[in-house]
Amino acid sequence: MIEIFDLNLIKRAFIVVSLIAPLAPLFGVFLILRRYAFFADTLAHVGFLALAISLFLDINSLLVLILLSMAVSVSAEHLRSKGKLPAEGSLSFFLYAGVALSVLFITFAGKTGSVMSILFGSLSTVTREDVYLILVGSLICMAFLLKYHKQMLNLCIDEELAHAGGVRLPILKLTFAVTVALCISISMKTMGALLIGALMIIPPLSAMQLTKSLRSTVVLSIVYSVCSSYMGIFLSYYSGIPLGASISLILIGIFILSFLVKLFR
Amino acid sequence: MVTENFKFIEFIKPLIKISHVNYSTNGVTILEDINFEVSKGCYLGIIGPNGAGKTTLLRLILGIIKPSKGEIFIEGLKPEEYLKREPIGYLPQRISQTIYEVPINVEELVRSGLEKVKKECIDWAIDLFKISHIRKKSLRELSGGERQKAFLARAIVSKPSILLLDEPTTGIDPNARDDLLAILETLNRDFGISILVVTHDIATFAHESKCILCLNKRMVCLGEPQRILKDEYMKMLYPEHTVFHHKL
Repeated sequence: MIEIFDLNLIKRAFIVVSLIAPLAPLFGVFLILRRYAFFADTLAHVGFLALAISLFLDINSLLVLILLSMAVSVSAEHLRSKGKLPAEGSLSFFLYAGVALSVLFITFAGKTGSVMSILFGSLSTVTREDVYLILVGSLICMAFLLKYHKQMLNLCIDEELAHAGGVRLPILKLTFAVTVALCISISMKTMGALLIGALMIIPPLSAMQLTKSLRSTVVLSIVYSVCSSYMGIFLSYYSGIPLGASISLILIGIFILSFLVKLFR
Repeated sequence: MVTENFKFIEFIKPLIKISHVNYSTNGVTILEDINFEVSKGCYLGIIGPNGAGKTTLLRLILGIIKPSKGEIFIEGLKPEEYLKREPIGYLPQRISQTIYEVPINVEELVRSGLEKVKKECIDWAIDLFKISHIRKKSLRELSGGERQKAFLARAIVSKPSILLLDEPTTGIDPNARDDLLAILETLNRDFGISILVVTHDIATFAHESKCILCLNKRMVCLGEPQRILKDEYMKMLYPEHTVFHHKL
């Protein structure tokens, strides 16, 4: 048991999940409230494309990931707000475009072996430099949530009510789109493109089965997220299952338990 | 059709000035040449048939949509400028259903109407609408009437100068409606909150409001209820209807 903590990659994994695990479900709560959970999936698949481009060009993947995710996030929000495309339609477009182009870049990069870690996360892909970037990214995301959580809640309750309350909707929506993209980008290497949505959406969804207030939903979803992330590191290390998949499996277990408790209490 | 410029003078300074406003969307005219002022402390009922543009008028005042022609001023400022200074209490006709699918309790909803949390304001708003017993209940557990009261409490928690209500009596029983009317009267009389209410409940608001605006894409009439709620005006608004039950 002790030797696991001597490994640098495990130390890094613990640092990274300590940063992203409390953050992801906070964004997830707002995404669920806005009926925008699919947004996380779309950005994750665009992240897959960013990682594929990085492989192809052999450049810093996290930076490409952050920039591309932000660009798509802002574009999708813009198309939704202006009503130029149906919300689900624009998200689907970016999702499929992301996957198709990713396959193209990975094929030409000739590194198909990296696909597993891109899709499902890995303990070993997070570098020392990545940890610093993730730290800065998570601080930015936290600052956004601290400053705008009340305005975000109003936006989620009803856009017109938020407007009447003096919330500047276009700026808030844009800032939210950018910070969600940032949160997904910094979580992607750990959780994987296919499973980052799980860390954002399943903890609040599980908490909502048992809670009667938003405050308790937020607290419980952070507890679920952090616990399953730490347990996921051990599961991944000892079983060889990719990290994102390990965390997601534990989260799914928590959801089923919460659902059953709600059903039978 | 009444064509003169309407000017309802209650005090001196106009609170809301709507100056020759037109609103069209997708080539369809929703409102045409709306031109009136209301003063501080007003209690204005806005009536008219479906599709008359009542809700659109409230959304224009809030600055959610912009007039195609004409201008709107609140205390001399454009709506977006006014909202930077002070929120407007608002109850929309419909609230997005998503909010009822997640666990937000009444107290959290009311608190969301405040920029800075002041417990005494939350308690005041909750007590005013007599919803203390459900303050810790999730919105999804409440009846339609209880939800309506919770959203009304949210609308007034910041003690705004202006309160815009779109069909506030929808879904609430007669007792709760009487309570609501008493609360609105208190807010208007004791707190000086100016109230604009869009309603189909003409009989009720004829007694409560100080002024009635009849709208049917254009302004049909504006004035004190005693003067306005006469069959001649009502027939202009509701030509299909022959019997009116809004005796004052």
